[in-house]
Amino acid sequence: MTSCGFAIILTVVKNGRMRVRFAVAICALLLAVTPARAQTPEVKRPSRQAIPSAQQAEVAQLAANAMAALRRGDSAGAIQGFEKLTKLAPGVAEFHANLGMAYYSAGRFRDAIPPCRQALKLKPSLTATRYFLGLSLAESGQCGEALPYLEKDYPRLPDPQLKRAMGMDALRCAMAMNQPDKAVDFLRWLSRDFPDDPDVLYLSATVYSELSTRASQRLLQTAPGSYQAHQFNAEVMEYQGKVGDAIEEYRKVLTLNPNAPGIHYRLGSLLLAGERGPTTLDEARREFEEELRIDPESAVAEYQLAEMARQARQWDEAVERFRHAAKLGGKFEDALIGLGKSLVSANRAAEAIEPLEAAVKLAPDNPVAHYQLSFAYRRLGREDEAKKELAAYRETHEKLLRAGQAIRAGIQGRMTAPQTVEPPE
Amino acid sequence: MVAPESVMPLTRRRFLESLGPAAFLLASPRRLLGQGMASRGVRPAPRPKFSGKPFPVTFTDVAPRAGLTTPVVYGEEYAKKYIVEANGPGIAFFDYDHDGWLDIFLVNGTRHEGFPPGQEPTNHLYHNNRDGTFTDVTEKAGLKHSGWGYGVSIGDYDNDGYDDLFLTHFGKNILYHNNGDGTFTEVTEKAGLREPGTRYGTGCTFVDYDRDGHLDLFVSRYIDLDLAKTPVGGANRYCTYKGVSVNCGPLGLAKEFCSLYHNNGDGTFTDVTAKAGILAPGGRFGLSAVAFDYNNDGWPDLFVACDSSPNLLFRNNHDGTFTEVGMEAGVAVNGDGQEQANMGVAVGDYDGDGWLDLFLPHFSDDTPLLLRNVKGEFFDDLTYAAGMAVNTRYVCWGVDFADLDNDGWLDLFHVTGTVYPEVEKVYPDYKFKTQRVVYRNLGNGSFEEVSDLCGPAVLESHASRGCAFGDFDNDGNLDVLIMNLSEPPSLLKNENRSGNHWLVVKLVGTRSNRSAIGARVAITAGGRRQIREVLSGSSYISQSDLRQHFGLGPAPRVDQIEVRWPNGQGEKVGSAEADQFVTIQEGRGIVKAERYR
Repeated sequence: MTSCGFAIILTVVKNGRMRVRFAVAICALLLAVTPARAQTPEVKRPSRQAIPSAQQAEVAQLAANAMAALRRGDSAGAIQGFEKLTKLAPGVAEFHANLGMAYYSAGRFRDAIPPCRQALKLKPSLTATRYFLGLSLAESGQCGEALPYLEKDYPRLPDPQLKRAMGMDALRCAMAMNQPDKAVDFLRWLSRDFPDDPDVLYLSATVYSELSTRASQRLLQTAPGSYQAHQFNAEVMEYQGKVGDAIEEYRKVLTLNPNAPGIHYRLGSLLLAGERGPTTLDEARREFEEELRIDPESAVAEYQLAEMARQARQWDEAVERFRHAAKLGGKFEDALIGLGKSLVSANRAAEAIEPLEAAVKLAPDNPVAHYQLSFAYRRLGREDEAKKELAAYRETHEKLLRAGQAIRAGIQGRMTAPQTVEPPE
Repeated sequence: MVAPESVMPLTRRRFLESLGPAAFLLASPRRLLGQGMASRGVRPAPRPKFSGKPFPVTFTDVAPRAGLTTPVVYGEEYAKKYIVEANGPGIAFFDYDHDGWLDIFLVNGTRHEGFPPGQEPTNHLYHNNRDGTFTDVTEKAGLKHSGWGYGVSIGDYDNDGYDDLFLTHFGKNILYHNNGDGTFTEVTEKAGLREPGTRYGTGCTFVDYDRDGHLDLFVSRYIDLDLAKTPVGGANRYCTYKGVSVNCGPLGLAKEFCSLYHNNGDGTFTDVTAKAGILAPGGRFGLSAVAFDYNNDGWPDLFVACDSSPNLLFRNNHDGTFTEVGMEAGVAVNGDGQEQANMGVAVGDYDGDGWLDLFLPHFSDDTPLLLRNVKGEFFDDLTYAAGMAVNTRYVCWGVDFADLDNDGWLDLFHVTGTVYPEVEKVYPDYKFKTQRVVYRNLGNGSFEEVSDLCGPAVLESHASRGCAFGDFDNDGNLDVLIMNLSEPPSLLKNENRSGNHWLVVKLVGTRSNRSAIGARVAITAGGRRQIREVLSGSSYISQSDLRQHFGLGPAPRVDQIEVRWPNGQGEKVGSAEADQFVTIQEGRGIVKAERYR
């Protein structure tokens, strides 16, 4: 055996939980009896003195057979062989280590633990064995013991596949142990190291959602009458589309904390989204204005007032408010686009260029920004630039449509391509 | 305390922003989940405070007593298997016998299963008896025809003094020559307008695009549709709406192309579509078509309202060709850069600045499009700013700018009705039949809805499609003729009590085409200038009165009438007293003035 490598197959199984099974081809972790056997950097050749000389031939043969079994994926054969070896030569750490790995590869995680422990007791420097001990502990639900191993070893693990598996196991254990801080840490590391991995992304969505649920439950248990609890309730109702109930809850928040920031803004937005009466507009405006009184930095409240002014053709007010919203919001391209639109409508197209160009720079994939900028250029007779922006609009619009089709296809599992016939002769 | 903004996104908008470009799709769940029509899924804008000004117009449906009692047949009433049945036809006001009284042409449909021989539904021509009633003269006129009728436009293509009739079909389009004696002759093949196969014709407009004095013809088309291969309800994501299986399309089906036919001056036409540049922009789901001079250069341009695809504006290059400039002009998509389901089109100078503007009706959960013409250079989306975004619940079809109260400002009237009757069975609030909508022009660039003030006939629910505007009883008030699916038409008589003055102008070309289609009339009255253009087509694939109606407010006379004829020549006609019908003949001024009451 000359090289060391791992082939890992990941399968995602039912109920959203992830199990990792390794098909491990271990090249050289041990073997003292055959000089031709290579050594891994981590595993020292077991001492010949550990094996009685009368048994060395038998041990050598058994070891060769067991290794061969492991290589060809015959976990049962490997287990049988290494069990015998650990009895024949109990002082050889590598035999215990390999037995542990054979159990692991067979999915017998609980059985893998004792031999791994024994191997590490005999030779603490067996790093790979420590990895598998941590993984086995995690897989068999002994998260309290597993986590310290996983936490320590994850950053050092060179092999990406193993690292990923370890990270997933650590995350599950942290959640099981109700250690959200650790869970978030592992999520951050996994997201950093495997940003586009679907399993990692799925876990991120699930775990953050679970953490959110736990936190909210705790909130409702520990402070049921608090304004924060009412705010949480209101947000849930808002999400569920229960506009009237959400408004009622938000008003309760304000009763308990009249200066709670964000609440007046939400009320105003809900008023605009719900059934409209003759006074809805005025009520919504008052809410946004009150929001700004409490939180003068609220870019979104300022934005809403700007949009209301724009729709009412009050260009000067719209321009001023959009400008302020853009300044407050930092990277707020909607405000910049609104500002540009209002300036164009107010026949101030020349002033519209700067905010619209800024919007395009902030959000180059936003077709609306390109479209509005094209318009502004056209108003000023800057035809070449207008054409360029129109082309960019077409490209980003098309890209967006394709992205939408991809999402729909993913959700609904079907994709039909609309066609256009060739024009008649 | 930490501001919530820094803890979590406060609004769906900001949350969606963080998702990147896909957020724009997620903002509209319908776009995400898929459906057959383009709709942004937006909420209506807040209604501004009502102006408090009275609107002295009510409408009365006089169709039953007028004798308009034959229902339109268009597939099954409450189940539309294919989109062909859901869209429905246009309707026309049409003075076929040139007696000065508007007659009515009703386009009809059929059913896939067919009818026993002799019982097929047919188009109808109704003669105006001048007493508020009409007589069905279809058979006598030779206009009996059964099929999936769609659009209708009127124009005297052979300049013999009688307006002819062109009909589009899902099937084969038809040209009828008006014989001048109350009868018509089908001349499609003879005119060179017969097409091979089945095509889905929709909007149509007569237009003298080369200003040679002969009316040419432009036809728009919708879908390349073979019913034998078309999926049915629920087959894919373009065949569901709100989770209910509905007829498929147009999204997911193949787009079609428009056609332009040059009038050879001898009763025949030549297809010049490719040569004229009409194919250049590619296929669309084309519906209503109208020719009008958007850039005031004296040459007619072509606009096509398209469903779920960018609208088309073909600018006339003056040399027999067109350049499609919809995107550059700002009419292809709305101000957010998104295409809409625009079925009909209204053309009119609603703000009185001398440039013809556009109004495009919409699908439900979306707003219409009010596009203000900015000196012929481009159009500005002023939908929200003008107060037109207050209704998003209707699917809207036939529409026009019309001065309903004769105050000198163009109001707006449109009809509605959804395309998915199946959805009402699951969602009772999503009605198949819905009301008409009236907006009053406030004279300051904005409108307010006054539907509730216009009487029960406006608030009645129907599945309407085409509508035409004209003064059928010659009382100086614009009436509205409406096509209702599976019902007789509505004829809404305008009971305007404002006391405002008016003038109706009929134009007759001599060097220009006889119908004067494409002529621009400008009047000055009470210190204000108003323009109108003689249009063939518009609304939703319908035809309104070719006479041009002006409301004058309190002004008792028109100080000046000017005409720019379709051949580009201008003519100052002089003044006229209010409250009458004047006929202006090219080169001769006012040749007739009549009062009918």
